[in-house]
Amino acid sequence: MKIFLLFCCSFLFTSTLFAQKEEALLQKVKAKLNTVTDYEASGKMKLDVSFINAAESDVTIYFKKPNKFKVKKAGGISILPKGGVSVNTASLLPVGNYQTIPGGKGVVDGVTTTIIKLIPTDEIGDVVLSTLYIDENAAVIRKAVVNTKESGSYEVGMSYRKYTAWGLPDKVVFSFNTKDYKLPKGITFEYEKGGAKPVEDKAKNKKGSVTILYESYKINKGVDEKNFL
Amino acid sequence: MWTLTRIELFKIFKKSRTYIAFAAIGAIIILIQLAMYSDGESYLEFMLGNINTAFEIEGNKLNGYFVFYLILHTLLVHVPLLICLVAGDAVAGEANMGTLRLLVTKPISRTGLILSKFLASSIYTLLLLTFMAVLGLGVSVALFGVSDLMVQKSDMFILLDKTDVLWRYAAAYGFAALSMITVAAVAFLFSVFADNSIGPIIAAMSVVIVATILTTMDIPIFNALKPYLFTNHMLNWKGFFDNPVDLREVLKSAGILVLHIILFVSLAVYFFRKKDVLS
Amino acid sequence: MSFIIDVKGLTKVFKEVTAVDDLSFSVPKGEVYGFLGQNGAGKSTTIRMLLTLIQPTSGSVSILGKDLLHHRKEVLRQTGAIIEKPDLYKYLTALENISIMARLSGVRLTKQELLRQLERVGLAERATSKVKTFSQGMKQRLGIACALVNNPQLIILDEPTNGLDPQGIADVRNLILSLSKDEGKTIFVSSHLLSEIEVMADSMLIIDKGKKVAEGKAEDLLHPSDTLVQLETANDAETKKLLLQNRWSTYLQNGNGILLKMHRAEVPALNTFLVQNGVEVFSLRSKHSLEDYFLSLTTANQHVDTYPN
Repeated sequence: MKIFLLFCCSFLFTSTLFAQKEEALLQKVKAKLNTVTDYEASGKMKLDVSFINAAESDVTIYFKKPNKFKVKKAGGISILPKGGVSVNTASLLPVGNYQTIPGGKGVVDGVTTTIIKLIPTDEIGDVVLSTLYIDENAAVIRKAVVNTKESGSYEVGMSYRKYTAWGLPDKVVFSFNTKDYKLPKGITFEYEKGGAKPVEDKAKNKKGSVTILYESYKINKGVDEKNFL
Repeated sequence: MWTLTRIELFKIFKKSRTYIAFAAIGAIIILIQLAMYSDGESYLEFMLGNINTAFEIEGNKLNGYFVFYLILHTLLVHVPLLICLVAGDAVAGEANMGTLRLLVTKPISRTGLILSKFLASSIYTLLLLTFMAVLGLGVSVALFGVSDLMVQKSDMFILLDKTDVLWRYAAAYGFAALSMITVAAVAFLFSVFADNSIGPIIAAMSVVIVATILTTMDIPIFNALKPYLFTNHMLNWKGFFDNPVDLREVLKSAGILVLHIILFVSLAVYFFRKKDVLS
Repeated sequence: MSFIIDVKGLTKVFKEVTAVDDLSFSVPKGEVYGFLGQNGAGKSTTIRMLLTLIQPTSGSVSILGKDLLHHRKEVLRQTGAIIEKPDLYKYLTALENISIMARLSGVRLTKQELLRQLERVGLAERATSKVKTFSQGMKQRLGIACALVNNPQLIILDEPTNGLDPQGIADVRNLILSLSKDEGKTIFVSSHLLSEIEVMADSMLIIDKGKKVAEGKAEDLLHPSDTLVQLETANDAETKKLLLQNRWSTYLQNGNGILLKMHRAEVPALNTFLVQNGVEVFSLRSKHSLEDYFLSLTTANQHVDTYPN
């Protein structure tokens, strides 16, 4: 019994100790991102969803603290998954109260990262659990897996090059689950090919991703509010 | 042959009936444009309901290209009926007026006569489509601007870059012309047999309507039938809005339509050459 | 003699009805050729076969020395026609109509030349009026102008005076005679009225139920050498007795009343004889067989057409 109590105590102690360490790392990441008030970035966006056919396009990405984010295609149409705000790094960090649980180490793209699980303690948010893979050396998030109440779970992978100092990624891959898409042919007046229908890959159909390649950032130069309309 | 065709065109454009189709198309196009201008957003909401639940679409969704696509989508179902009005009248109308016997007693071959009439009907069809393209695309672009084009299929949502749209419309125009000439050929064939124009016009319209209903109903037993219906292939102008374009499939449809035209016109020539003009 | 139309064994069978039955005839050049028959006798079917509107079941047609079947275009280039009523494009003007017909006939005429053609039928002033505003007579005249626009050798007119008022009928008749006599054209004209044909035809053909009844020079058909003379006198018995005592007895025919068959030239002599012998003549009528035939046709028609009051 004593041994058990001792074990429990030591576990609580160590976990709290670890948690403090994780929290510090988290704050470090946050502080780095906080240096960015706003940015306007140009880049390329590619949407990969089985039922959406859209070519890779040049886009402009606008960001303003705390959480304003917009991807626009000049003179064109851009499609982002709902909750696509999470494509933005800043939005991955929790607001309000949360509990931190250490998750050990993990390797993302050949970089060893510290895994931190965050459980929001406020009831209001949609997020149930976030798992962040943080590169301690660079103080940036390399990967995040987010579970939500409403939008299912999604995963964000980020790689860094030129803008590591600002904590801004060169590439973001946002993976998510999709629902079925089906419209009646009576509405679409569609041509019927005839012949055997190709067997649909159900598993493939359920996954989608958005990839944004950031080419250049204009950081802290001010962004007009109308860009977020 | 060209002289004959010009005479036929002259007659077509001297008839008030000819302008019904232009007026109808003009009215439908302007109505759609007005409706989209005043309340296009709620239409978009409805159309994009399925995709809007999971995705956020940014940009000038209700642009000229989209409105023109909508116009084509609506009109290419109805234009065949208007084409029947003129093509069904081509021979039967003259039989009804009694002028057919004048034509047949002139030193021109019956084959030449019937082909020139068909050519004139086809040119009329092309003019109608051109009118539709100019009014539909020109005014829509002027009113709604230019942006990427969203195309919804039953199992696919396609976003086409705005620089990648115009050639598709040009190709679709060519394909639609082929479709409409197929309809003209059907009406024309019926026209050869009748001594008044109501009969062939109604008959051709009925064929087009029944085949279109079979084409648009998504019922398995009809689906098996669809590859054999020319109205199904007529819808394949939409093939040009696929990405990438399934050229094999589109060309197959175009080929089938051309075969239909050749078949219907050859039958018309055959029967007209043998026809005893009694009217 | 050269023939403009030469028809041999022409037959047309519609399903089970034989509309034209083994018809043969020849139309001499430069004549007005009358084509007589009651309605439904097969006139229109024959004319339509001459104009390639209907394909013959059998037989041959040669026009202007060429086989119609094999030289259709060449033949039609030399032919002008009105079939039944002259149907024209009612939504077009007179000038537009004649211009179209000229081009279809393979001739290119200037506007002035076309107007001259309209002037010939008295329509120059209405050249730019739509045909739908025209009276039946004006349409008929325009139809004739259209038929003549290519200056044809042969003109085929099917019932050209149908629906015309007396003035219109006279105009058409004069035009036909002028085309034949002044311009040497061959005119093939059909009618169901003997009275109409006899005033203009040089030769004629009579058909009934698709078959030829008579063909020949109008003179011969209308005034045959043997004619039947019917006499009506104050006392027929006495008159008969008188005739029997003279050379007239050989001409006397059996039957009711007094009927004599004789050469037409002798009719005046008979009249003189009767007067000299003090016979009171009420009427002396010379009848030829053609008229009898036509009388029977019109009587038959009247039976059909009469409704009980």
